[in-house]
Amino acid sequence: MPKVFNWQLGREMDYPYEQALPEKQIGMVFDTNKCIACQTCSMACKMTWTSGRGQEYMFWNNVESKPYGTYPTAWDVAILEKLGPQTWEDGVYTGKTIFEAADGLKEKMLGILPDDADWAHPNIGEDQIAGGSVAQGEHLNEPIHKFWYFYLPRICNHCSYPACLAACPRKAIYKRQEDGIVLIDQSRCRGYRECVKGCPYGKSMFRPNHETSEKCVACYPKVEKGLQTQCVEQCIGKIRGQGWISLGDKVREDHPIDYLVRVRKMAFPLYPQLGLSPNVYYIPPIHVPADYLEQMFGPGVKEAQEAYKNAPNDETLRGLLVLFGSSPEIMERFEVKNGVARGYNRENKMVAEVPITEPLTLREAKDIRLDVYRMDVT
Amino acid sequence: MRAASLAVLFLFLFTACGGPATEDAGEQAAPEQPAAESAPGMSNQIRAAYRSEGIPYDPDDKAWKEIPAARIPLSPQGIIPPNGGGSVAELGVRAAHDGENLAILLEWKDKNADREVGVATFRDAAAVGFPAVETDMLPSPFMGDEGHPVNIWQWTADFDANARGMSGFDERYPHTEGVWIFPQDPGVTRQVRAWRGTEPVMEFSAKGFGTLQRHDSQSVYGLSQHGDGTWRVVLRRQLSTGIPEDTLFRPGSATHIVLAVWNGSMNEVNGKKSLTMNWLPFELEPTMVAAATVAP
Ligand code: SF4
Ligand code: SF4
Repeated sequence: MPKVFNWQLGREMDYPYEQALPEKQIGMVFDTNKCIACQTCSMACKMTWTSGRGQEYMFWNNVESKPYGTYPTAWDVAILEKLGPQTWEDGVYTGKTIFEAADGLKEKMLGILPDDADWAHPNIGEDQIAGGSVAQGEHLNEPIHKFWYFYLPRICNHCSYPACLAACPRKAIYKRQEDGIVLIDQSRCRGYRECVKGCPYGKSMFRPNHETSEKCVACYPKVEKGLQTQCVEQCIGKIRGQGWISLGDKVREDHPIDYLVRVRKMAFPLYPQLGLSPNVYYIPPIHVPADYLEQMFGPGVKEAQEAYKNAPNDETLRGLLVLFGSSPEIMERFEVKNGVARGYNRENKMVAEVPITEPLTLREAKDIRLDVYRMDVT
Repeated sequence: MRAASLAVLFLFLFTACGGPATEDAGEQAAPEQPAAESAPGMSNQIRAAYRSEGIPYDPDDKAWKEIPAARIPLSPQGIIPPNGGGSVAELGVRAAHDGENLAILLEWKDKNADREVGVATFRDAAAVGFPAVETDMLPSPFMGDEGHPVNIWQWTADFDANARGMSGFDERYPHTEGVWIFPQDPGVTRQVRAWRGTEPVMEFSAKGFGTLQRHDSQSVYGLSQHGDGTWRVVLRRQLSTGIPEDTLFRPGSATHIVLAVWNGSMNEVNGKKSLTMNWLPFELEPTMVAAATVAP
């Protein structure tokens, strides 16, 4: 198998195709601290792309509660179990990826084909707490919460080394040179479901009445126009930012995604140990035990949690986070100066200008003009 | 509000219709036993008998009994991942032509007729392949190679079911009819149906693994029967279609054939199949000789 460099693992790895990185790679950052699982993203995507016959069960975007939520059922625990315990040493992954652990002759990567019923419970495990059972009269009285859960919004990761693409015997899946978006050519797909089995994230889905597989298309018609995807734009919690991620050594400090992922190392890929180099990056939740999160996001989580907790004293970080969800356009550059964050589109035109702290105005309790008392005076 | 109520509706539907696909789980991986029951002149020679009075098309046609069956051993595909297959050990093949049309009857043991393509269920299928053009070298028996294309006819049990108006989809997902929102969706589905055609057989060209290309014009017809744990499938085509990608058959001469079978309940699809590992000679009886035999 050819060798490719996976920066998320800090080493070279086996992949069925030669390294061919795109000119630009779509990248997103999701701040899990702010997600409220309102599922607006799921519905935005569903109404846009998967409202058809045969797509009833599909959520290209789903939000699951961790640690117990999974869609399709058990997707992550099942592949982790198949892969077995693995190791990191000093930030370098010394374990095996799903490509390296496969026997190569029979299959190109470890994979699991979800059953019909596995797609039938998108909200399984919702809001279920981890950390033991709650005793009568127990309070949240510790510095670190004993009980925890968090929401994990998930879409296709438009991986740098997609397993779906590698699994397809017909080369029906391709990664676009111009933006790194991974698409399934519907006219070449013959419905073998190798990609459904191959994608460890459960993000390639089979449409039985068309006998083809479908997946998140990264809203490419919007991205081509410089607009954010549906699930990013519609996000109520403003947890999502979208742009480009630098995959090489050169990183851009003034680019929102590069800044959070590469410069500050505060946002992490989901299960990087699988070896796909996924390009949706998560700011880890600060209230969740770091050992659980390290399994999910790789090393460095603790430092990121500390940095996030320090956000009140960190103007650039705070500014960048308030830019999330502040414009329908993709912001390719940002700056934070004198308490104001500004975002610029691909033409370098300012598309968002947000004060980090909203100016506070106190109003009289009584509105004399309308002769009513105000419910809210700020 | 609309989004919220739809979400509730969807979730209800999902929980209501998510039955696991385990009916076939009991089937053993052990190869099925030979299918072609004893017939006169059993051999592994595939020869299309000449029938001046016309060829049988229905798999139940008694005329098939008079045509000798070749018994062809099949092996699992083990050359390129994903490997697999091997659940069907042998294929019975009979063939006939009348100077105009060619019919091939394939018979193999398979307990279950897997007619449905669900999210995680696979259909039964069978395919024959011929060198698409005559060259001095035979194509690779594994779907041909560059410069030596193969003409493939694939019969699938789900298309067969569709052609008979049986839709596994509606049975498995009974509450989903009509839940789509956008008017263009039925249009997209219609387009897919039109692309698929109404026949249970599709005709392709291939130049190696992963290169299967559907022909724009389709000229193979199929009929099938499943009973007594056996599939009997007839594929029929004109000897000559005038289309350059289609193999030309000439009475009195020989070409070659490869065969493959997929067993849906063993999750066989794509490279996971039971197949012949080499080209087998495929002869067509001359029109004249056979005519002489029939003449009083
Ligand atoms: S997340 Fe899955 S479907 Fe998306 S590119 Fe990666 S392997 Fe393919
Ligand atoms: S990027 Fe677009 S297609 Fe992909 S999950 Fe989000 S809304 Fe759906």
